[in-house]
Amino acid sequence: MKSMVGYRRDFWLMIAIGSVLVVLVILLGVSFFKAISDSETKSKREFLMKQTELAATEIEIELDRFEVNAKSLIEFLGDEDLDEDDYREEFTNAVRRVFNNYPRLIDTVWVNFQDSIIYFTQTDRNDFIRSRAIGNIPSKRDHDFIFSTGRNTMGFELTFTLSPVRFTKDFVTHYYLNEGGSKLLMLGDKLENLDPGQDVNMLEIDDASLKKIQADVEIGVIGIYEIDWVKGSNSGSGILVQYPFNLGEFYDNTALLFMVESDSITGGIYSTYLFLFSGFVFLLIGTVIFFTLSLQTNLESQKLLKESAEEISELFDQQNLLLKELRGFVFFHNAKGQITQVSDEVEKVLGHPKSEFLDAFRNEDGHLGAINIKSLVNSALSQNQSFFDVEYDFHKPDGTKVHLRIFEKLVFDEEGVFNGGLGICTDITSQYRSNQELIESGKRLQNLIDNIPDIIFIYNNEGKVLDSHSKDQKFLKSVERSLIGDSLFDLVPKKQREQTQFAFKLARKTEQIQTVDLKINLREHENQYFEVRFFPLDTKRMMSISKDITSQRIWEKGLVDAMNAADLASRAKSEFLANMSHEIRTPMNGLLGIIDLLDQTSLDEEQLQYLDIIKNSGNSLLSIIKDILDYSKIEAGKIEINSIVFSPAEELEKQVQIFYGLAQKKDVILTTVLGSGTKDLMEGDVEKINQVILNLVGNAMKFTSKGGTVTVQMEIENISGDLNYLRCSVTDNGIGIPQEEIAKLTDPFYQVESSSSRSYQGTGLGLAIAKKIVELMGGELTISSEFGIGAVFAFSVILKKAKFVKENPLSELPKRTNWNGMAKEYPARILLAEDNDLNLQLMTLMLDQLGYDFAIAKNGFEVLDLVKSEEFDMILMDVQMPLLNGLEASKKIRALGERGEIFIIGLSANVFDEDQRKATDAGMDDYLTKPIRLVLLAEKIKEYFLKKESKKVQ
Amino acid sequence: MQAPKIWLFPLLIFFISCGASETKEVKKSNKIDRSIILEMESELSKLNEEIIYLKDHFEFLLANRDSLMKFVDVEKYSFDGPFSANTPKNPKKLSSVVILNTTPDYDLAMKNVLVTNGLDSLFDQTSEKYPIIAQVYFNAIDQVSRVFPAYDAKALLDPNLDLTTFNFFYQADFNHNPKKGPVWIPEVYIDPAGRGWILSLVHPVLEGDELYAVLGIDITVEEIIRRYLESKEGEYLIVNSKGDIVGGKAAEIEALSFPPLLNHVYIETILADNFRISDFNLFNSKNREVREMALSIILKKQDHFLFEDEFSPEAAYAIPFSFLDWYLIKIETKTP
Repeated sequence: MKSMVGYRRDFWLMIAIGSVLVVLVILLGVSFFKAISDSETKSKREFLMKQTELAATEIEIELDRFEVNAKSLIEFLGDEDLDEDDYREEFTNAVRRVFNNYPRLIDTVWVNFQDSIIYFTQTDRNDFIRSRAIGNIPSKRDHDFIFSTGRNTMGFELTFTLSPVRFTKDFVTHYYLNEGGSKLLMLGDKLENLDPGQDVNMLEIDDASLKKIQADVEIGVIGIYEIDWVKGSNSGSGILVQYPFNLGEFYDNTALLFMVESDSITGGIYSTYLFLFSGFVFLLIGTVIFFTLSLQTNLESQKLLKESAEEISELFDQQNLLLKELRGFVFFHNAKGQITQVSDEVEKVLGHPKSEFLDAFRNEDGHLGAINIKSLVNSALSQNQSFFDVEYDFHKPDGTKVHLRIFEKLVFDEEGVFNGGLGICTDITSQYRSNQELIESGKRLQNLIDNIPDIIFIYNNEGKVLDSHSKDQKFLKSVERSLIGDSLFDLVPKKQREQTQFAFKLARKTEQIQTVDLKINLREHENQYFEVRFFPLDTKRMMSISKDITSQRIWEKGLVDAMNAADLASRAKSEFLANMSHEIRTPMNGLLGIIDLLDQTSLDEEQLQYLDIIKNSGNSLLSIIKDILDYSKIEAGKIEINSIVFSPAEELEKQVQIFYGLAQKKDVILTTVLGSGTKDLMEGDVEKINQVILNLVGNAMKFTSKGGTVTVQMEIENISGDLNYLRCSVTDNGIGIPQEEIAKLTDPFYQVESSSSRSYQGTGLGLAIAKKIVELMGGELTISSEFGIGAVFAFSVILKKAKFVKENPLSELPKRTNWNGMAKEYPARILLAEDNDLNLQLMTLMLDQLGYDFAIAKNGFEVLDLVKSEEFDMILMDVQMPLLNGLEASKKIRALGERGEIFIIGLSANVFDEDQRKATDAGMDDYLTKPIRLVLLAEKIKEYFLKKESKKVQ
Repeated sequence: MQAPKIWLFPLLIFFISCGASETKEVKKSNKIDRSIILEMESELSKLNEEIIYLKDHFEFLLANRDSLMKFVDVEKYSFDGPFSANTPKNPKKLSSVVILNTTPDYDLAMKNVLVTNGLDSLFDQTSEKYPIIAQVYFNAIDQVSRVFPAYDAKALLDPNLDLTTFNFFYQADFNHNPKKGPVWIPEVYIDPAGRGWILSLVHPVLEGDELYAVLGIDITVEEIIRRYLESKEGEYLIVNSKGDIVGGKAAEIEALSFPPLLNHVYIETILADNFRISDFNLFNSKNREVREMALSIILKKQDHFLFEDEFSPEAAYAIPFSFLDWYLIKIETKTP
């Protein structure tokens, strides 16, 4: 586009210059014409001037001579020796000579001899007459032009009457003027026509010019005038030259006037010149057009040429660049093998400067490389080849070795005579090295393949076998034929075909290794297992490595069987434990319930003491069972984390509070240190955390002797975002633990063997459970201790920061201890469903104590019947009942619709969370675990009474 | 893009030069070198010394008149009336001696002729020494005239004239020449003996304190021009303070538009009967510009004049003489 603009600009510029040129030429022509015309006019004027001057001076000279001659006549008469004949003959002859010398000038000559007067005259027919005159000699008064010689010594006098106009008119006929020219004589103010012919019209000059002429004549200066004239019927302008002269002694203020027409001067030039000039201008315009057109095409072709030149130059630059990048150079040599040209890169490639390179080829005994090339050329020539291509190692002068490739094209002329050659030499060292490396790596790969014990197949992308390889060939031999050309998928057993196809295609698609285990039936009853790995070899081929894993499979199978067996055993143990604990807890429930009831009766001191012992033993037993249950649950993986919102500091205080009484009793200083952020609300399984804290603080209290200190420290550390670490440590200065025992502390049922340990009771499961719980919550339990000085038990768990504020401040209410007769306060119609007699007895006792009347159902159907027939506020339903268990019964009650909208509180010895979830799923509102404690039961009843009341309000 | 602009310039210059009128300018090289005049005048000034030498001799003769009277050659000149009888043709070493009729005392005058006869040889010597000299002479207060070489006095001289009324006498008298030294007479006159324009150097001769005679040396203008100007490049013309052409070549005179020269020779024209000097005065030229040139050079004392008219010469350069009120004018004609 830019060049287009430039081209257009050039074009218009050329047009403009051409036009200017034409205008200039026209100007030149006009000036030239003016110059020629001026020069012509000038020369004409000059000619006219000269003619006039010449004529005037000649006339003047003639008249001067005439005067001299006239005077000589009077001198002739003055001779004293003259006789009469002399007077008559010689004098007449002398006068006649004068007449003839000045033709038509003299009219008459009067000779005054004092005594007589004679006169001489000549007629128009040239008859010369001498005669005696009668009358007087004419004087100036009688005739305009009189010349008198004056009297001589003898008193004789000659008087001439003259016609100078006539004389002049004849005289100037010798002077040529251009056609249309006119001649005039000015005598004083009078003009006389000098043009030849008798009746020629006289030239009339315009008044202004005439006045000017007259003025000039009067002062006797030459003049040249541009005049307007009229001559007869003609008129025009002309140039007139006036030349003043003396018309002898007889007339002053005489001037000769010659005039030529102006037009005649320039007319000729004008017509000739105009014709020539027009031709010239046309020629020029033609030339300009021709040049413009040729410029146009020229510019276009220049543009094209420029573009292609740029293209070529660019190409050349690129080639040079390429050559430079290729580390190569170009050379030309003649038929003698002498290098004629070589590019500058030669030094870079060979390490020899250009001059050395040229020298090497110039001499016969040059560089070995040069001789080598020459011999290559010769051998190529002898084999009638037009090119050769060779690679070889070259040692640079600095000792480095490069690998060169030379490609040379031999050049022949039209007659096939070898003219020389041109070649490209490139340093292909790196290429060569990588090639070598490639070969090496190929070899390595081949070695690898050769030594791999696995069976290798190579397929095309469709799964057709292209090649196979097997180290020991045992497998392939067993096939007894070549598999090449077969489809992989045909070789695979039908069952596994789809799987194999999928893996093959996936490997092709993702270009990642895909593994398939194949079972191949080689011979009858003999299965062989292969782990086949498919992967792409290149874009067109796939490869598989098949490893015989038959023996591994056999071993693995044994292992899995053993594992399953162990698993089953473990599960059985857990189930056993769970069942056992349930079975133990049911009687324990009854036992402890009765003890609670017994405690409410009036007893003496001794009875109370025994009761207390029973109660403690029962509680311990319950706690042991609980621990075992917990642990077995953890072992069985049945423990679950139930996150609720809580305040760690608050919970810690609550747990520690439990031990304040004991601390006072043991005189142990129990302190808590709360770090920042511990009062924030967190989300986590607070019950389990409390369990751990209780365990650790309990242990510390247990092993700290009188006067010791126990410090509980808690802090929150933010991990990221909402996640936080809750760190808690319990430090005591108790008996401490020997270093070697620390690691074993968390083993179940382990207790440090020492003389003093007997005094500390426990199952030995506490720490083990704590450790498991902590680990379950993403933390760890650490123990450090120095024997005899004290110990530090610390744990950390991950908590989430709570997003909402805990609503229920129920726990703030003061705890009520005596619930006897609460039915009056919180009346409720209660249905108790329980099949176990002991439990029924216990529940009856408790409810009686609380002051409630209640209906009893022994199984689920009874419950359903009662619900349908009577109205109840709540059902206390045992989960495990015969015929229709509590869960099923609950479902059916809920299915009753409005009738079934009763609060159902489940009762079960099952403490697993799973059981509770099942209860909720079945439609139960709440859940109490056996053994049922009186206080808990009372609180539940009160809670649901309040709910019922609030429901009523709604 | 530069090239087209550059070639336009010569074209423009060409056009400009085509249209422009030729401006005349004074070429320094064409101005007359003053050395020409100096050379001429140094030559002429030698004549001053010569005339003083002659005067000294003359006065010596007068001072020793009594003793000389004893040795005078009474027979040297025979007189025919006022004129000595000898002619220019025979004996060559003689002068033409005239005792005009206006002499107060003929005898005394004759005595003086005898006393001064000795001057003839001196006059001859001087003439020989300076070829430029046309004649050497003296005119005495007692109307004695001695002219060397001899001329046809009888035909040319009116014996009734009073010599002291001529400029070649009175220009040297005490009134006109209080310094009593040599005097160049600015007016030229036409030599009656046909030698053209004559220029005179005169010197008073004293007897005691009284003026006795005036010595004169005449030189022809033609000779001056021939000797000093012909060898010089260029065409020269000498005019006097009135504008009369004193000398010059015919071509130059004709170029200045004067009446035709007789046989194209100025000297012939001068000698013609009907010659009128006024015809050959620059102020009377037929060319108006020549008249202007005369005005410029003679009246305005310009050293050059440039003609404009196409029929005029190119230019005229002038330089005044120092001892004469003359002008040397160089005419530059148009080169065809």
